[in-house]
Amino acid sequence: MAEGLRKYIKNSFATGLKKPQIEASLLQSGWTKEQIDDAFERIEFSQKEFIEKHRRRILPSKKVFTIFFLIIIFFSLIYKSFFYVDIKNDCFVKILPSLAMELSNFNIKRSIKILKYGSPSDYQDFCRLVDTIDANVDCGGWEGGCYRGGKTIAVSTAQGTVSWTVAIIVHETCHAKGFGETECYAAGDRILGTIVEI
Amino acid sequence: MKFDILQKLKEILTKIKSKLRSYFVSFAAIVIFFAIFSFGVNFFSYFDPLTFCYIGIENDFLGGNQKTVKKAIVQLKRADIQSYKTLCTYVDTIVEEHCRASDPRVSGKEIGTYEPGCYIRGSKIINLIPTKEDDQFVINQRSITIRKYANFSKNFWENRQDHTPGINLRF
Repeated sequence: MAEGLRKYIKNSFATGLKKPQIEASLLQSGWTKEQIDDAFERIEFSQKEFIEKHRRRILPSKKVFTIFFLIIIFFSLIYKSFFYVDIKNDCFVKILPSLAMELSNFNIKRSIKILKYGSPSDYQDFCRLVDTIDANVDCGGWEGGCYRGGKTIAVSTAQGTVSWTVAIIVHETCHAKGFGETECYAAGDRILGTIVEI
Repeated sequence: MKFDILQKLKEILTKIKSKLRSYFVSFAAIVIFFAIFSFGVNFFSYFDPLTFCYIGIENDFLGGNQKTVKKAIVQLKRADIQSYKTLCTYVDTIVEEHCRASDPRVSGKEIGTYEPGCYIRGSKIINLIPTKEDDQFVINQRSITIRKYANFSKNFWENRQDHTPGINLRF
């Protein structure tokens, strides 16, 4: 009986009738108000259930979105903190995390960018000869650096000035070119004179 | 008929009223959020919401004074709006730090250490010599220094071959 009523309502909707019209015709046919309301409620409920079921199948759940979002943030942070990339100039440098002072390596990345615009020739040398910067306090001590051989340098200037960090980078790149301390101190001094405008 | 029209008008007015109320609540929420945001940002830097001018201030906690940097910027804004615009466009960070224009191990002398300030080429950074004093003389001095080095930054970025004034040097 109730099944027949629901079927009638569904068919009426399919033919384009509105809810008040269907309601009126059912009341005229002898159905009570409670029976009609109950039938409408059941139809609405089953429709909602149907939509919800299919929505879940089509759209990924909130959980998937959250995980995806967290993965994006995680990799962005990794990239921002530990890599310097300049595709145009073919420059790819890994910056190892400084466990002692500054995990973000903000100072070193900012200094590399200053070198790029402030002294393009030194920047070209740096990109060509260095592919790894160790930001931990090492053989250069606090506020210093050292050349480790190959394409690796150590720069421990997390709390230092950017101009000094640029000077250390240029000094260690100079060692990577094969020059000794005297020439490389002079290179550091030259870059300070170039980028610090008084 | 007349009653129906009045009834409909009443309904429309009620709807508009409720919508206006929700708009007002949203607007108030945005204003409050922006006020809190501005206050928070101004705690560590200079932010002028009217001109959207943001300048980070890295101050020397022991030997410096962030307040005089902010006061110097405000003074510059009042005295010379053109220089203020230059500052907002070409400077993104003011650092309270001694300038180091040489390596004393090479040249045997410190260049720039006791200068009132300097501009770091290739960046939008200005250094100011740290001082704890907060009298009007210091504010005036800082205002002049900031204006001078903002113009240095402007000259640098405008005279580059691949001129990109909006370049982002923040990370």
